[in-house]
Amino acid sequence: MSTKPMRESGSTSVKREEKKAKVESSASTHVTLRFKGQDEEEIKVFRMRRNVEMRKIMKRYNEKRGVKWNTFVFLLDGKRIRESQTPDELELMDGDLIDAMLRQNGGGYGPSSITF
Amino acid sequence: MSAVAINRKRSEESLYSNQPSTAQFRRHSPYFQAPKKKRRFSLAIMSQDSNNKPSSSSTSRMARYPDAKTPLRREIHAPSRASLIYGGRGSVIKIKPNDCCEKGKFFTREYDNAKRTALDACRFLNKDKEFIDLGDEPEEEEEEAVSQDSIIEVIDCDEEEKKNIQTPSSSDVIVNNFGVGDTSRMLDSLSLSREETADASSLEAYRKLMQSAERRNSKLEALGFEILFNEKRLSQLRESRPKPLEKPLKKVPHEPFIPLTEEEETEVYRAFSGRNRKKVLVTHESSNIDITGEVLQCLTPSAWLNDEVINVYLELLKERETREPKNYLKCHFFNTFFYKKLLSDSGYNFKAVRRWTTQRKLGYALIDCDMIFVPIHRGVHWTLAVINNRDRKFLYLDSLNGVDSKILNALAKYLGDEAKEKSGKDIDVSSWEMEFVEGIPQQQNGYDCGMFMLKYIDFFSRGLGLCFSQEHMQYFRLRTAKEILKLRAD
Repeated sequence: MSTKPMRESGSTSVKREEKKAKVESSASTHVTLRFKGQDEEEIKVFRMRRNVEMRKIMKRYNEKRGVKWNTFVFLLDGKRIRESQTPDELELMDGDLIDAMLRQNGGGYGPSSITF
Repeated sequence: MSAVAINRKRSEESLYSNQPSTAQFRRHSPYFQAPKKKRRFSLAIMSQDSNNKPSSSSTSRMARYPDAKTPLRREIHAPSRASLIYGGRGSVIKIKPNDCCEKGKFFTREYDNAKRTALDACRFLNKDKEFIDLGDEPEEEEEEAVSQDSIIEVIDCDEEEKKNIQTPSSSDVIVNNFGVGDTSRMLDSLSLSREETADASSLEAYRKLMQSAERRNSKLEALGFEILFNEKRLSQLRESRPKPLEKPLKKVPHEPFIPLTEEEETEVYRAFSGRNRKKVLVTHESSNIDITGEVLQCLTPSAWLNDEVINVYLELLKERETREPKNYLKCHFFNTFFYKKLLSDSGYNFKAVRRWTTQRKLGYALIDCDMIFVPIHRGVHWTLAVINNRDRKFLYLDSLNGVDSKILNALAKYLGDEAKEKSGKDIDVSSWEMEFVEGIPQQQNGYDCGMFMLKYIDFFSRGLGLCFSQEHMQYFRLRTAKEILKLRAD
């Protein structure tokens, strides 16, 4: 995707076509998503197939962050992402940023009296 | 009563101790009367003493003391009976000489009568009848004492008893010299004048008194009317004062406190039970939130509220408003993650949230809302910030009464950025008020802050005041659980 079609006589059009096909296929099958963790500057980039459930990528992210499953809540523009959804369903575009947020609990002060 | 009396008493005592001869003399003295007033004694003694050229040292000393001359010319600084009778201006008590020696008694009586009639006529001047009644007795004594003084005076000059009879006239002159100026003085002179000359002058003085009193009377009446009028005006104005806008409702509203039916309660307790922990009880489709039993259990008593329950409830509030827009304010409810993204560790970041509020997403423009609710999560505590578009205020509500100006400043900046980007409008947020709301319901424990925050939002979106307290929290928890299970907030 980062390569640009070279201007070469003769082979350009072919190459461009190839390139296009490649991009299209990439675009159609995969999507590159950026994940930004809460209170973190670093953005982790993932590439995944469009028709695969988000669950996979979410798992991957948790692993990469070194936490157990379900630690993070994933938001797309403020809206929660279900693990059963796919990028196609969410109409994700390349380069879309997904927020990984920590779960929130609050009561006021002191330890929570109920633990599960 | 006065220093004069004390002086006399002292002198009298010394006399007693030193002079047995004078005591004897006293008994036969024409001035000797039943020992009502000690003052009389001392004066009597003194007069006699001075008459007889006292041999002893103390009596001569006493004679030298000129205290008898002007005792009554002194200003009275405390209300005394006599001054009260005469209009109570604390004015000088005049010498009331008019009787003495054998005829003293007779003159006293006559004087009394004259005085009484005059005072009766002037009764309306002195509203208090008491004073007038009391007046008679002390008057008597005063005047008796005075008479002695005048006698002494005369005696000093003439050294003859018989001349005492003359004293009334001389004293009269003296009195008349005093009696000028104000009504009390006039009254004095009136009462002090001799009976023979009393009638004409007294009548005139009386008439003058009447007139001045009458003048005052009308003034008093006018004042009284004015007072009544002003009082009425004041009460009218008070009634017509506009009631404060903050509390539009007359009494505690019914709707937010409707108790759960038995059926609903059972359903909630079933949902709370342990076997439902992993089971997804409800799913809120549009927000992609699944509520499992475990998650719902945060609404059991003394448990901390989590983001799912809060966020799903906020979604339900929005749906409620869409259902019945007339009953609720135009609100926008941000979810719990919004503020975290807006103001993170790396500082204020509008870009991080600018896609959260597109017209396409919301269906309305954020700045067209009456109220924008921003739940704030602070580690272990939930608080609420409100952008009150309608009243142009930023509010911060904390059930533990904390303050944080950073939050409101960030929201102010956000509003300006948002308005500019989405609607091209320029809002001067610096002119808006920032309020850390006080007097709001406070939590009395360490676990209800989430519930308080939800209820602040709930009541505000209804346009109500925060008419609830800690004691309602248990009910509110159950009610929220019921509403989540039904996926419908009422």
